Amino acid sequence: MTKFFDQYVEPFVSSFGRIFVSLFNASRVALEEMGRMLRMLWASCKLVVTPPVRWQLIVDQMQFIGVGSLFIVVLTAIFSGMVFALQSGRAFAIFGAETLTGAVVTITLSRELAPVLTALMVTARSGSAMAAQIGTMQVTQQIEALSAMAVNPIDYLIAPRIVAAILVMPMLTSIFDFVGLLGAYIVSTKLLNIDPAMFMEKIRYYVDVADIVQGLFKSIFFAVILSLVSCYQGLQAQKGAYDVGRRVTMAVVISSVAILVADYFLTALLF
Amino acid sequence: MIEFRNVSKNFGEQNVLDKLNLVVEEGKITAIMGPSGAGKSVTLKLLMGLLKPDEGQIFVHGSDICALADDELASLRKKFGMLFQDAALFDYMNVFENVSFPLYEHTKLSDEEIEKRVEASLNEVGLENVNQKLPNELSGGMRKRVGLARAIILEPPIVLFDEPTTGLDPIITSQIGDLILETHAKRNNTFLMISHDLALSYRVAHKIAMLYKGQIVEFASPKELKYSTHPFVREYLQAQLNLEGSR
Ligand SMILES: Nc1ncnc2c1ncn2[C@@H]1O[C@H](COP(=O)(O)OP(=O)(O)OP(=O)(O)O)[C@@H](O)[C@H]1O
Ligand SMILES: [Mg+2]
Repeated sequence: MTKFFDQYVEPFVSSFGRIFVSLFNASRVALEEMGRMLRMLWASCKLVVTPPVRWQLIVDQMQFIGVGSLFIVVLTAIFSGMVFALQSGRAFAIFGAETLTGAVVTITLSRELAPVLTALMVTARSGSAMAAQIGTMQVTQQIEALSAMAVNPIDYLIAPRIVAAILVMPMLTSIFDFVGLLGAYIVSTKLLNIDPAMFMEKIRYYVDVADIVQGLFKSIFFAVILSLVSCYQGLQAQKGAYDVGRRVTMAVVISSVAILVADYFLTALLF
Repeated sequence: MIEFRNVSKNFGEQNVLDKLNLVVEEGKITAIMGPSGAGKSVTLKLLMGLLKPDEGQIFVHGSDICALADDELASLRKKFGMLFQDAALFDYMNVFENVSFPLYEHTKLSDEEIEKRVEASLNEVGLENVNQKLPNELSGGMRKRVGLARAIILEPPIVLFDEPTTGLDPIITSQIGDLILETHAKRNNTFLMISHDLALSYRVAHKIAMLYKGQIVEFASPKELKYSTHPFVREYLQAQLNLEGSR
């Protein structure tokens, strides 16, 4: 009996305990990290409004994030719109309501797909780059050099990136909305033979400005998440090229997951 | 005046500085020498507030820098210029942008004025026609000199040099020595210089501090240093003589 206990029950219980402890530790670390990130965000907010405002850096970053991500966002948008129209058009056709395709696609795009997919694409493209740049600067002492020259790294590197992301993300999301709808329109009218006038009419009837606004509002939130997480991870890089690589991966993974989690809660709580 | 009072610094288990005491006189050139890995660079970073000591205080003009708030620290740092051991140039900026960076950040000079100042200070360190080059397109010695130009472009009252001449040829080394002496004669600033170059230290420094096992074991003028009785200092100087003898 005791042998049975030693062999099967005890290891099971103790490994359960270990898992519990490590989960507890992991969540404590995660909370601590979140606290530090929020402090960084607060510091950035204060620095952004204290003159001189670094417009040049903000514009540079907007260009980097916006122009850089434009192509990939357009590409993602057109295919998402197309495939979504194809799927929902076919489903609606089962009960003869295919003219609703446009309205449903528009609502889904503007509320969910556009802000979320745009944020994921920008994370992959620009969040990773932010983490890599800042991480490299950290391990090569360039951040220390900034501090030594009495320039606050948060003011010079982090705040402009966060502001730029906040300004650019709603624009990219709007572009996603538009291009996605274009994709849906092409598939619906050319492939599924839905009447273009009906397609537009249903959109006008069912889609509200609030749907679009909701998506844009979310995108601002996502902008803060992805820029904050990426910059923070970059700053944490300490030990050379390997560490920079690891931090870039973490920036992308954490941002992506946080965006999806935040999306759920934003939707549940605010809309 | 700069004063380190009982400063200790550990990295994990490793004790790098152990109750270090050092007074750097204002308007003088002080050299810190000591074995590789002794904590010389760490000492400079502590002085800039880039690292925090585990124990002890560091006074600059009477105020303890460890007790300063961020903005006070920033305004204190404007009095400092620092050359990092590996220059720490911004790798995405070209040479001109690197050297002009402090001027754009902390002065309201016109573009032409800034161009003139950068040009002049690059000439002082023996560089020309490198404005458009990126740090990665320069040799190690050239990078060091760009870092030097950047460190002194604001003419700060206190300048910290981490090995200003390591990796430079003898001609440039002696030129940097001239530059340090000239700058000092002109503006009478406080220089704290780390160097392994005994000849340079003898030539420019008023005082030489020997850092060994986490403490300053000797603090003397170049003349006095030769008569030091500390075993490590004797060994250090003897090794230098051996090197010269073998030439
Ligand atoms: N950020 C750090 N993390 C951990 N250890 C460090 C760190 N910086 C320095 N050290 C350790 O502190 C010690 C002193 O380093 P430091 O760079 O000050 O040496 P140094 O006297 O400047 O040597 P060198 O003449 O070779 O430049 C070294 O043993 C180093 O391993
Ligand atoms: Mg060093």
